[in-house]
Amino acid sequence: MPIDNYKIFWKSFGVDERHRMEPTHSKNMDEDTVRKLMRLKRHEEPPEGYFDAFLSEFHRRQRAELLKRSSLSLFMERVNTYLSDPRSQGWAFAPVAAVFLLGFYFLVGMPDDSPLPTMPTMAQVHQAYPQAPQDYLDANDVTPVVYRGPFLHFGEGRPLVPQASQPSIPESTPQKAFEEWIPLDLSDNYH
Amino acid sequence: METEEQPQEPSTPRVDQDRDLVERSQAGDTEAFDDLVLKYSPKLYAMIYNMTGNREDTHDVLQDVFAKAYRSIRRFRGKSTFYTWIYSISVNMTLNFLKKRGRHRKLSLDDMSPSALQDQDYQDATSGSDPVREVGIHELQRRLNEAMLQLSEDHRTVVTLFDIQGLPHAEISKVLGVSQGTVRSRLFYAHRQLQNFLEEFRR
Repeated sequence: MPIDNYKIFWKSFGVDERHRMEPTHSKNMDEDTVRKLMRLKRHEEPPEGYFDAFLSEFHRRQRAELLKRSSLSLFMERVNTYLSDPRSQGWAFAPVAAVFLLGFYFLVGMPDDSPLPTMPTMAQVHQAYPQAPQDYLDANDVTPVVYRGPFLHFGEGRPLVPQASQPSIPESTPQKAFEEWIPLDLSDNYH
Repeated sequence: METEEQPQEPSTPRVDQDRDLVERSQAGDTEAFDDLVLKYSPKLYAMIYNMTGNREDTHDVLQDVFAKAYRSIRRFRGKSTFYTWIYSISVNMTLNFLKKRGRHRKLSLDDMSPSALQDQDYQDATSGSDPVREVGIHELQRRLNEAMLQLSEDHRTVVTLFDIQGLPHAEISKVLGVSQGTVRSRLFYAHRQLQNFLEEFRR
């Protein structure tokens, strides 16, 4: 559009002529001339053979980039490409879920190899508190208050068993149970 | 309106002529991608060059464009033509480069081919007693590039795509992601600014 026709242009858009921008130098160079001059820039070209050399450099840069990039960045790019694939949108959260499950397993579900707390043996009690008063033992509930029959309890490497003729110890007499428990010499059993 | 006139060399492919090359590239055929590089590097070079006004910068940006296209080719789903897709990448990367470069711009021009002197546009623009003829083709080239660099990046882009590269409005609107009305508006204002910048030819 020649710039002299700007009034027609603005009227075609319903713009009041009073509000349009005032053109400068409108009588000297029209828009058509400008466009023709701009088209001359098509003749600005790189030297002959440039684009073949460009492709060779593209190959060289690609190889250099592959060598330079770490395996981690390559992996992340593959993951990124995979996640951006519309066909894999349903799996988009799969890696996140996998990380969450692994974290949950290590934090909560991992088996505890630490030894479970056990009730101290009589020997341990006596060794730790040789003069422990009965009140203290009763208060701390370290004595077997329920006894229903003979059993083996290993402590300090020596098995402890009740005397053969000893009946079950009444619950009301824990002190007696302490007194009547004696170390059993099982050496005869190995002959 | 003259700005609605279609360019002389509309180069918009209605059907994606590159479909075979693209599919082979997506399957890992590097030679197919090389063919795409050789096919589009002249057009993209011209686009970037006319926006940067610097051939060294153009070389680097174009390398980056094809590197990005190579990494992203598997994600290309054919919703647009490859032509539009690669142009969009180029325009966006060039605009990002220009933002980073800021005002540190320096002209570094390619040679004007001798055929420019026989170009009808040159003959028309310099006809009669027009002083444009007197400045010579190299001085004209320098002034044209300086005028281009005075435009805003958006205006420079539409002038490059429409006036220099011959893309129609519809294709430019797809590449830039704006309406055709916006393209026409930008062209109108860009041409008016260029008229002012180039006015010294007439003095």
